[in-house]
Amino acid sequence: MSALRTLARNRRALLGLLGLVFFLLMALLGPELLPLDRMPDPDRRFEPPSLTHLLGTDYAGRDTLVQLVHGSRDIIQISFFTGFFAVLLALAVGLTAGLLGGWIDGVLTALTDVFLTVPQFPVMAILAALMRVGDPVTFGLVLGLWAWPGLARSLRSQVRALREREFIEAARVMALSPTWILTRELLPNLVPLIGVYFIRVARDAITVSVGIMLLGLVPLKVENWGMMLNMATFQSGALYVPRAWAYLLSPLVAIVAFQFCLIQLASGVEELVDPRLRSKRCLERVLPSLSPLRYGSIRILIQILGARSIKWQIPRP
Amino acid sequence: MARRLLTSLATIAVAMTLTFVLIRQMPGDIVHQWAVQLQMQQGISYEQARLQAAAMINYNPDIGLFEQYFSYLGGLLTGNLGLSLTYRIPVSLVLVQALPWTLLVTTLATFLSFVVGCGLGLLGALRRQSLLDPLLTLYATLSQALPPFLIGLLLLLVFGIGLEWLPMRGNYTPDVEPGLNLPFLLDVALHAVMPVMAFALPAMGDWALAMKASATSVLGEDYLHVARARGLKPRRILLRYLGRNSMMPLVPSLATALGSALGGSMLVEAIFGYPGLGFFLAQAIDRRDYPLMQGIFLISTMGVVLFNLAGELVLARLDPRLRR
Amino acid sequence: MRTARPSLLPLRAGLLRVAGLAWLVGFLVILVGCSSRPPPLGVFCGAGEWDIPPAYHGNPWAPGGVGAAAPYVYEPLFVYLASTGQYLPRLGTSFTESPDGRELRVSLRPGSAWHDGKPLSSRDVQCTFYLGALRGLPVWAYLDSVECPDPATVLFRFRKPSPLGRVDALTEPITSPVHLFGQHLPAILELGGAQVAGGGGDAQPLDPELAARLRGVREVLFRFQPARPVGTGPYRIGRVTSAEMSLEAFPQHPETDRLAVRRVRLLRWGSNEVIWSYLLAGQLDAAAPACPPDVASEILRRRPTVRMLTPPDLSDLGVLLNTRRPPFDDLRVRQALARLLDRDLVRRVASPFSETFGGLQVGMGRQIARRWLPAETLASLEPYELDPERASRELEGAGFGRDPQGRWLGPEGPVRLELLAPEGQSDLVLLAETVAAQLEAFGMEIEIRVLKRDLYSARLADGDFDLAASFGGQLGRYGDPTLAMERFFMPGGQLQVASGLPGVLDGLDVGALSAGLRLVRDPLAKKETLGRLGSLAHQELPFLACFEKRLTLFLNDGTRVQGWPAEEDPLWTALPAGAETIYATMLATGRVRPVEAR
Repeated sequence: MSALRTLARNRRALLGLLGLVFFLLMALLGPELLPLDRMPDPDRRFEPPSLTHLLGTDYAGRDTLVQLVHGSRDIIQISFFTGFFAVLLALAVGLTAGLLGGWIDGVLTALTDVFLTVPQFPVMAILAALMRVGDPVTFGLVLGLWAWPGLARSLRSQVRALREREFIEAARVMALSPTWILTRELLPNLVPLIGVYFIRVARDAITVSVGIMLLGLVPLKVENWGMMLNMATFQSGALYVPRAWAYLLSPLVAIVAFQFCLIQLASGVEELVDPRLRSKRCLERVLPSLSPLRYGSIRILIQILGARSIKWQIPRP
Repeated sequence: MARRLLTSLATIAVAMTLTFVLIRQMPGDIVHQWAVQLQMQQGISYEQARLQAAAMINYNPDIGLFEQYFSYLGGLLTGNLGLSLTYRIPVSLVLVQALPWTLLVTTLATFLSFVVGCGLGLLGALRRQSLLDPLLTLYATLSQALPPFLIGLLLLLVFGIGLEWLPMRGNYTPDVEPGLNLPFLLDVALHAVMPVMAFALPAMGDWALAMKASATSVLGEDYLHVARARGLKPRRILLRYLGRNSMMPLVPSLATALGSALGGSMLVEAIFGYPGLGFFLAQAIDRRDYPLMQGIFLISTMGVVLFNLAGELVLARLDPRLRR
Repeated sequence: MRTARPSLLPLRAGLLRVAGLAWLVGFLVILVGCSSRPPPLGVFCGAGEWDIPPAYHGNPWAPGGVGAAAPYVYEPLFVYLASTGQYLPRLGTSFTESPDGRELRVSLRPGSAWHDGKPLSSRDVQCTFYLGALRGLPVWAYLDSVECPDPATVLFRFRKPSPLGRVDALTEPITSPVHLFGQHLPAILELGGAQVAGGGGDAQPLDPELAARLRGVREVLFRFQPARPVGTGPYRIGRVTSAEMSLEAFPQHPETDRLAVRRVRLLRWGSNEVIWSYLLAGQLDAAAPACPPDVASEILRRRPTVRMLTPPDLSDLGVLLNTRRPPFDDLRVRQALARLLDRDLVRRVASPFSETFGGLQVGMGRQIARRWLPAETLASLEPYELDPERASRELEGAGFGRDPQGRWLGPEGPVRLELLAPEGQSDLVLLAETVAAQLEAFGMEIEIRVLKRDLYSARLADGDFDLAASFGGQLGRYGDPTLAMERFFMPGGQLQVASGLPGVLDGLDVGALSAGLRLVRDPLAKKETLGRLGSLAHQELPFLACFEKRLTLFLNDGTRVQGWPAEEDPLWTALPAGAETIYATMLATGRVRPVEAR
């Protein structure tokens, strides 16, 4: 399929995809291969990386790599479910508000604002007293409930801007069905925005999950990367102990690497969805590079081949 | 316009009411919190500390929720935000003294991160295929992925403990005389550097990525090529067409960011001992100081809603297509 | 066509240059301010907690008042050393007690004056105690009245004589001069201090009208908010900010000649990590935070002038068991737990500098037990030693069995436990982790929940837990196991409420017994009662102590100040009563001196 081929040609997206696959494999198979031993061994605290402990040990003498691997399961589940629910809710609210306008728009915007402004902590504290969350799906739902308003707002304004664009009108004139307009015209333009937010939500989910663990809403899992980081910085003072660099850096690098893969994949998907961003080589055959500026040349990318819609836009000064 | 203002006010009202009810439903024992503190300070037994804590709280818990709500509303109308339970001073006094410090740090940080972040993002969108792009992505990822408290702690470690260049905590030293004099202002500036950086560095990555995404989708537009074909200078295209159009989806985010900046950040302010709204909020939540919590939430709610409104208005002015 | 439209978001072409410049300016500011000077020689740097401006004020009774400055700005009549029973004179020079304990006469130090210049008299002492009644001062559980036979003598009349009450009366900081606080007294004097304070023991709740009236008096008192506290101590407050407090010597103090260190700077505590960072930066001279061993060695490595002492905290930490519901409602299960937990491992992980608790779970540590409990009682108790096989046998005897995978099954299915730990106390969290790991290895499913402190105590009070990481006996400032026994057995005692132990055990009304302990003056009777309560604690095992806590005290000797006493000095044993009071005493008596400039 041309989609996969396009993706494959994009090296960065490929890198991102491979990275994510690696994490997925780690989450699925890792815990089976490396059993978790929670028993502390205080004489082997904060050991630097060695052959027996590839990433060293933590504040209680337990292997860091094993904890990382076991934590990946939780992290991936939490990040994805939170992102999924947040995007779902945001799409539902943002699209409806942006497209339908009128009083529905007013009500939904008010709802978004209320969710944005009602403070998170008291609600979480109340929830912590009322329920005990066990599975990642519920966890993701609870976290997603707080993440969707920001995206909904941006989606709404983006949709409202796009709605006025001539290509939509052209599509309407061409009597294309609303579903077509929605999926083929609107959504592709929203993908970059959704991508950025998904990644942000996934990152925030890790931090918020720690806060929720400290409220007792969820049982304490030391192998959760966010919790590892929290333990490293606040409880065990690993920040101040030079020997403990491996313990401090491991969850950090894992979180960053995870994010990095997501970002790369997201930019790959952007290019997939917007064909005009694809190969520049094809472009340069058609249009030579334009005049250079002081800090380099602007390459204005146009893809006439493969364009799916006709857009004419003369901006007003 | 008037309708939007009305809906904004309505949102604030609804949010405030919800908050009012919610925070009073929070479980937990406020007397215990105080008692634990007293116990630590005085080395007495827990039971004795509890007795003292109960005396200190000194309010009648039997007043019903509705009564409390209506008296609160009545107070609001006269500008009286109530008395802080923990400090026994007017809530407005606390807010007036804490707000400038929060504003100083967060607005500086937001603008710094926005300007620098957008610049980086624009650059990243232009140089999609060069070496700059993955480097930028790495920086953006790093600054995004690192939790803000960690950046704050690292700054403290490096500049406070290691190099001893910057004062570690607080907003100014007791040695300087507060007022409009140079030593005081320099002192404040010195103390503000690390908190501002702790806020700005993570946000920068966010803005860079968002700007890059937005600029990328704008770069695909034909009108850029049309403009070039019309003979407009590249610099003008960059600023007026590319820059402005890719910034537009970001304006609501900037508005939201500024609005939520009013609430300060509990964690960063706690790390640096910076007496802004976030700091007082963390204390208020810990001690279940409802009036103070309410006051701070009011400010942050108003900030968020009003700034969102402002963002929308600015967007409407900037984007002619929305004027219809 | 091109109308001038101001661009609201100026994106200059030199955007990068602007950004670059901003960074440069930032670094210049840093370099310019390269002098983040540490405090100069001769200034003592301590730490403490206070409510920051605008909430800060000088009324010790109102919330938000005084804070960490109190031990430096105020003085008590005496400082009590629990380990030796000594009273060090401060505002008081000597005292005599009548044989029945109902009268305590104290002579005041001549020449004492308040920071605003007015001289100290016994009426000020009286004022302090009566205002304290509004605050529920514990001493009113025993006191009948405080009288002033003459300006230099104070007379305490006790209606319930008690050794603890004596300590309370003699160590209360004197904070309220009559010329500032006198107007709040009449209502209290009219009602009587004991009634106002609520009895504190024979608690008779005040009738609502009286309570409302007192609330009114309290509000008026709270509204008195002078900018700075007025005390009699050797130091006066200078300025207060959100992170630092500066104090200067009070020149009219009668013993100011002994005061070698003339300036004090206090840094706000925040949390333990804050103190570690200050210690690493060398900005503190005395502090006792909870500290993991690696951070401690790092501090000692970086700051050669800092040394660390580990005085006992007179408290123990361990696991609280909920006797209200399965599986810990069964005594055999509790005893099995005592035999299967490796307490030494728990100590090594959670608090390596502490001492592992022995097998005698009497609610207090070994040395304290030897001092306060009868030897025969101790000899008669069978210690709980680490013996997993015996633990397994006891569990099987209680009706539990193991399935083929080694998991324990009870009558209602596999054993699933919930262990609570309070957030912010790293030793308790680590204790919870270690206990959970051991139980898991033993074959029980267990989940840890770390809760914010108020949620934690709410769940404990509701009895909604299986195990909880908690403090056990705490001897506090009295150095007396009475407090510990109250926690365990008195109705309303923290551990009693949580563990759900009944008020009558083995035919003994432990509730009444523990509540009456404070009033027992005969040492032998006290010993006997403590012995009975202690052995019940050992038998019933509501609490499994894992280690006796030792504090990690860091002293900076030679950077700015010097002269800290050695570890064996009895002054350090009083640390659990309030570390800052001990530092202040050492400063006031001139033991700690400035480092001379070279």
